[in-house]
Amino acid sequence: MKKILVFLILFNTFGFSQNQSFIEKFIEANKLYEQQKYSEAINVYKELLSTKSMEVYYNIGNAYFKDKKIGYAILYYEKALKISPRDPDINYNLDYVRSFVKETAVQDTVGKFLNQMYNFVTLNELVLFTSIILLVLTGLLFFYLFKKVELVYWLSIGFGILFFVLLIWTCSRIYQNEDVIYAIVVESLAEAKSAPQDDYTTSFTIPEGKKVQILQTRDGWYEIFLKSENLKGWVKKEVLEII
Amino acid sequence: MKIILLLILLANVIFGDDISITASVDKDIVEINDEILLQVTVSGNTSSLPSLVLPEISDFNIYSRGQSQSQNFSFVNGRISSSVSIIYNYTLTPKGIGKFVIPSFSVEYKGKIYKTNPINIEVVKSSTQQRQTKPSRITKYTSNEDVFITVTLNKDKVYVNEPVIMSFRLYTRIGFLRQPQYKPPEITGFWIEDLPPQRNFKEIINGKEYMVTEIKTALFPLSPGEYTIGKAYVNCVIDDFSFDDFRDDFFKGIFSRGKNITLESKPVNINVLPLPLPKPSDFSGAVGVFDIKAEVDKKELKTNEPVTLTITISGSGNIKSITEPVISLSENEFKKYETVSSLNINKDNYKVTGSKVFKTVLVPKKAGKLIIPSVKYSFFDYIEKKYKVSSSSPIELLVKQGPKEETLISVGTLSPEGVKILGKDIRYIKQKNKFTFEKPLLYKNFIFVVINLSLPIGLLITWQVISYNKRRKKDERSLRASKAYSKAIKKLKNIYKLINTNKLDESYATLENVLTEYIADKLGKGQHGLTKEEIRQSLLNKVEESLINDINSLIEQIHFIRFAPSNDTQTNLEKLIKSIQETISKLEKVL
Repeated sequence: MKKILVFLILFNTFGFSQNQSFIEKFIEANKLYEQQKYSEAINVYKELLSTKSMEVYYNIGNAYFKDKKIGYAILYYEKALKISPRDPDINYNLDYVRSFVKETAVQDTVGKFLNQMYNFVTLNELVLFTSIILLVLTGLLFFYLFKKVELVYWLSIGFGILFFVLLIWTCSRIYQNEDVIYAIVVESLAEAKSAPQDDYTTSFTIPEGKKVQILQTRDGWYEIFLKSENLKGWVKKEVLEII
Repeated sequence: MKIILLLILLANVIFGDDISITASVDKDIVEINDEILLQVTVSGNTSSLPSLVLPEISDFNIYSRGQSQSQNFSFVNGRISSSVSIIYNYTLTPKGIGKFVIPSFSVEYKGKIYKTNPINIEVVKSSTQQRQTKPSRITKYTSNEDVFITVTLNKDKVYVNEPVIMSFRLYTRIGFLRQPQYKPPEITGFWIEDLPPQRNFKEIINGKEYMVTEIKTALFPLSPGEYTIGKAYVNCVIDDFSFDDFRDDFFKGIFSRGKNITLESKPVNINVLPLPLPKPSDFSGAVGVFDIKAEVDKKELKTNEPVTLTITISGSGNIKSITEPVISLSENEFKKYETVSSLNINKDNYKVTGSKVFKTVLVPKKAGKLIIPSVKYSFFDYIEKKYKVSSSSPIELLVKQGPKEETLISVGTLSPEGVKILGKDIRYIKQKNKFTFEKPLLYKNFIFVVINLSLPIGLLITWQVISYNKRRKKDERSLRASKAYSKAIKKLKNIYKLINTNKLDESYATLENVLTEYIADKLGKGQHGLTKEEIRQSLLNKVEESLINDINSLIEQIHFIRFAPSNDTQTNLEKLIKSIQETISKLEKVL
């Protein structure tokens, strides 16, 4: 138990190790943004990308939007959202910017809500929570081994179910994190071909800013999947940016 | 994507001030005697649309067919925007055959000039007209005594925008075989307003009575200079003989097939004068005689309650050119909404009169006595040749403090105090120097995984240990139980030996133990201190009542023999051992 606590504290303090030049650069880029020099601001922000910070990603997203590059704006908002999935500003801006993406599929509200719930917590938060539930469950079972109390028995069943659900959620999220790659279309006119070759027919076009799933890579081409439209196709690598 | 952005940018422009002007024709290839309908649409989100500037059109005769106005309200992001569009209708008749261009129409608004695209028109020969009018039969009856036309103006010197009445008259003493076709004169540089209805009357000229048809048109000169009203034409078919000849040659009339003639009027000159200088600074540009009136629909109201201010400018002159008067209201006192205007033109008595009504919704912001100041309208009176100002009387409003929330609902769409989204934009950048960094993944952390795995593993081990211990205890008991019988028999045999070697004391002690030990082993209980009563209790549900009684009597007998020995002890003992042996084997079967 103590070990875990120490471990957690270590984990959180990681975020506070910032150095002075990082902050200076950040302020410089913000000033450029205020002066509406968006593309210059983007360049300065990008120097800060080695330490992956939500604020930097968010500001880059804003600058790209102001620079009228919807695809990149969405890309960086998505990156920011991965770090802080509940940040209201990111969600607001992402929703707003997404309204400029021409969607062909009808957005079903239930699906959107479920998706939001699914990604409501970061993977670390979820893993930690599941781990805490496991700890409680183990404690209860230990107790029950030595003293057969009915309350403990029912509590164990409750926590057991909770743990089981969380475990499925966690495993699914880990799988998503490891094996499912999403990307954003950053070019204004993206065409998906039926095979990874230029001379093949164009199957469909994808609007800038659309989120697609990457299935596989083959020399200079990505095979992508559009879940809502149920379409598969090959696009050139430079058209997409992985989140 | 870019298109959308462009649209947004465009939309922003529209939310500002925008005027659009378009021109369209119903056909671009036309026969010489046909006419073209030209529509010019001026629209914008301002209530005072600028007036249309007519270009010089030399290839066509142009007639105004009036205008229609429409108004649109749209709610964009909670904001009301109104757009007004005026459609000007014109009829064009070609003057010659060939390819012609209708030049651009334009409006000027806030220093910017908006233009329509020029329209190309091709005029072709008419196939039908040639059949109707045989050129050889056309005779010009310019000053025929029986039928002639005149075009007159009621004045020859006018100011810009001053109305001139043009009268076209057709004098005739004879009947027409067909309805005469009237081609109005070429008029350029004037705003033309038809003055219906046409009038028919009789007039005596030089002792002859004529039937007169009069068509009146109001002309508003657009810019100063010398102008000529061109010739008007009338195409008519008359009987091919004069009235006087009728008696002389009766039969001529019967076989007359009619004669096609074209009548022509003389051109008329007009001098258009510029408006005298100096012009007042607030001059509205209107020429005529006007009167301004201001009214409100209620004089007592509450704050945030809308009130409609109606300004009516009425009089004679070019009503259409009346622009919105300037209402100077304090920003702190009133919130002003878009002005809506409506036009009312009266052409009675061949005079263009009417009114233009401007309606503005005002919402008082403050309580108390608020005054809508006098609205002034400066115009040029062409009768008195002076600039004049008409002003409305100021209006006093009694405003009470009203509840804010309620009026929001009652005002409805106007909601001046609610949250109004004027332009949606992304939220601003984050500027706090506090950062949230991406953290390494917990599930990839070795220590974390080990801790988490150790918890259930520890639990599993503990559980296993506990259950193993339990099992082992159980095993011990069953081993003891299974060995109990042979152990008892063995002991009994030992006792025999002891008896035979005459060690009676020892044999008593062992004998007593044999039975209790056996029962204790079988039941998995401690070997010592198992009393008669305890044996009875623990066996109660497992064996028959009689057997328990037997066991008890045996124990009593052992005690008796031990503590009261007699001579025949040896034989008694042997008997006792035998019955113990029997009891044990009986128990063995049951337990």
